[in-house]
Amino acid sequence: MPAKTKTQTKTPDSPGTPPAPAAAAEPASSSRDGDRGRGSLRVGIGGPVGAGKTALVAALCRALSGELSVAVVTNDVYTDGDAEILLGQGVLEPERITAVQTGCSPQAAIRDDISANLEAVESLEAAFEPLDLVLIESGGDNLTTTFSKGLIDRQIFVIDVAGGDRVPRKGGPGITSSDLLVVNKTDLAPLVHADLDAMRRDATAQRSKGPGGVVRDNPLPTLFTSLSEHPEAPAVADWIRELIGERRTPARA
Amino acid sequence: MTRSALLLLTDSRFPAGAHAHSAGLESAVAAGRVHDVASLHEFLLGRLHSAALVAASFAAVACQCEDPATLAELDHEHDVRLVSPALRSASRRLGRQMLRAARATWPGPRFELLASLSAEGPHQPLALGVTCAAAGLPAEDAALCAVQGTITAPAGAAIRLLGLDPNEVSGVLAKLAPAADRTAAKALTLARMSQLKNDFSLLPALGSPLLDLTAEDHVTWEVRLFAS
Amino acid sequence: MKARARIVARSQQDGTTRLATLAGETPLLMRRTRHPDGLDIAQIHLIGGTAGPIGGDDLAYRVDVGEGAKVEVRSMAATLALPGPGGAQSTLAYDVKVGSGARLNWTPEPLIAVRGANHAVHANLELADDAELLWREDVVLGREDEETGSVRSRLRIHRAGRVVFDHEFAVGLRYPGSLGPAGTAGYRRVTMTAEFAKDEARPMIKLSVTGAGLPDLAHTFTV
Repeated sequence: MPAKTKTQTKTPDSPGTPPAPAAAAEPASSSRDGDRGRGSLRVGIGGPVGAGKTALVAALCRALSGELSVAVVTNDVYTDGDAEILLGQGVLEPERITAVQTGCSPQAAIRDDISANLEAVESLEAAFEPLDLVLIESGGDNLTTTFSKGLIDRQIFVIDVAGGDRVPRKGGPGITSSDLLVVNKTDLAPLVHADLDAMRRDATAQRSKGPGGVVRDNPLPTLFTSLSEHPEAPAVADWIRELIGERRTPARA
Repeated sequence: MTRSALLLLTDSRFPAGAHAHSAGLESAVAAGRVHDVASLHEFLLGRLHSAALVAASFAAVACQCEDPATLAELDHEHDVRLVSPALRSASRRLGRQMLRAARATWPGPRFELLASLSAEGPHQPLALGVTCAAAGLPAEDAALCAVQGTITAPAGAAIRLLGLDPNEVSGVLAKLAPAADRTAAKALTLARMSQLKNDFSLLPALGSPLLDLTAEDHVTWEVRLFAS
Repeated sequence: MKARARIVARSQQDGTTRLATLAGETPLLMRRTRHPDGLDIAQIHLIGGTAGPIGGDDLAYRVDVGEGAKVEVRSMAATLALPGPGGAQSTLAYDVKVGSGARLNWTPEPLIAVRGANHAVHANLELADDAELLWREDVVLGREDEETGSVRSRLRIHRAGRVVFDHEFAVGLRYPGSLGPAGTAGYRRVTMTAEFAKDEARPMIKLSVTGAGLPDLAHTFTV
């Protein structure tokens, strides 16, 4: 893999201000075995209930569907209300969203038995060929879930400030190993007495350790967002644009 | 032939997506028809004597079939036995998902026999039968596997939807095991007869009118946790 | 007892339908009745009365509706399937052919499986590719305040030589689990009609279940 300039975790100077686009986190360049490197980029979005997964999916569709061909697979219980969030304002046609039922096992559907999700992704890729990006939203779940590498190329883990500022300290694979950690609802920090600095430090610490406890050269990226205030999630969108750019022009080792 | 291959195939970890299908149980729970271990037992018993018998006989035939045209006809025979479009669609989806897992698990030319079927893929019992053949398992194992899959899916769904004690549910499945064996044996006999006489009308067509009706209703729910 | 019934219908030059054969042994008695639309349609009433199959009976209809002929079969009243000696099973077989441009409506009153009954129906229909059909199965599980008998019924339909529908249900004490939540779950009447329009390869199926104190459930399945 080529050497790339790596950046530090980006956080706002104070709660409520968005990260400046120029300072957006670059995608982790850790090589991923079996990265398909062609076809659509499959990005999993996981995280606890209410953290903002659906809001992030909507934000990314809003930001990217003008320039990229995007589709969504959601494992979350997909009600008319969710459809309204995703389809309202016409950011995505209804045919580009597939809901997949998980039989009360949201973890299994993205990790242990990914067949139903693969089916859905491949159907969308066939229907909208060439598809640039597929976002796969997990069912709301706890901190121990991650996506199978058989299903996705990269994963984003979303937690929110109102879930408690001690959450990053708890760790779990979503916090420690997701390709991008998004901490949402920074606007609520004062209301819930959340210490964003502490969260930043804890997240960095958790994301500095690689497999076997070996310290990484650079911690995996974390972005702090307020999707309610910035509904196009510019920093996350840039992160995705970089990934897609990389896939289109693979560098020679 | 590896005996362990059967255990691998019937393991709930085998990633064929069956865990997301309740086989009509989600509707039964919503209507209050299944609410405890005893009513779950009755539900599974009913399935054993209808859907399980049909699935097992088709899986047994598919396991022994080496001719693409015959497999295509077998698939058609299964299709016309499903009144509900929702159930036809779910069956083909489960078939595709099984084949994906099976091709990776036991790669080989056996799956080419299904190439002439439509892109939608075969119905689940046929996919299972061909998978058993690819895994080197005989038709009686295909029948057993089909029977077991028919009752473990709703049993698992009941544990999740109703919070039934998994130990008690395990007891129910154990109690049904002799009947499951007999169903598989009967399916095998019917499969063999149909092959001997070259007559697929000898394969059973037992269904449940109530479950056909609830399946169509189920797909219209705004919130459903299971795919079928 | 063993009984056979035979219906052979032939379309005439003048557009009417003639019954070349209309013969039935008790209890499969039939009579041609006047259809409101005239003689183009041969209307037949099954007139065995309520005397239906008794356990041990071997009953069969052979129906041959020739090209262009039109036949409608009804009955006057529901029939009762009754228990026979030693719980023996009664069987009723239908062997039906409907030719090109022909039409058959077979819509009898319900069959009631009384307590202890053991009855099996098997209908095999062969339709030409442009034949029309309306076939109704209507089963009532037991009389009022009575536990149901056992009945199984299979309907298999071919169109232009190829099977296009095959459906079977089995309900009653002889069929484990069939009265439970995966079976009829307290519903007492199952009605199914299979309908083919002239140009349709697969049937439209209407299915309904009803039962005292339970919400009616019904659906029309179009392919």
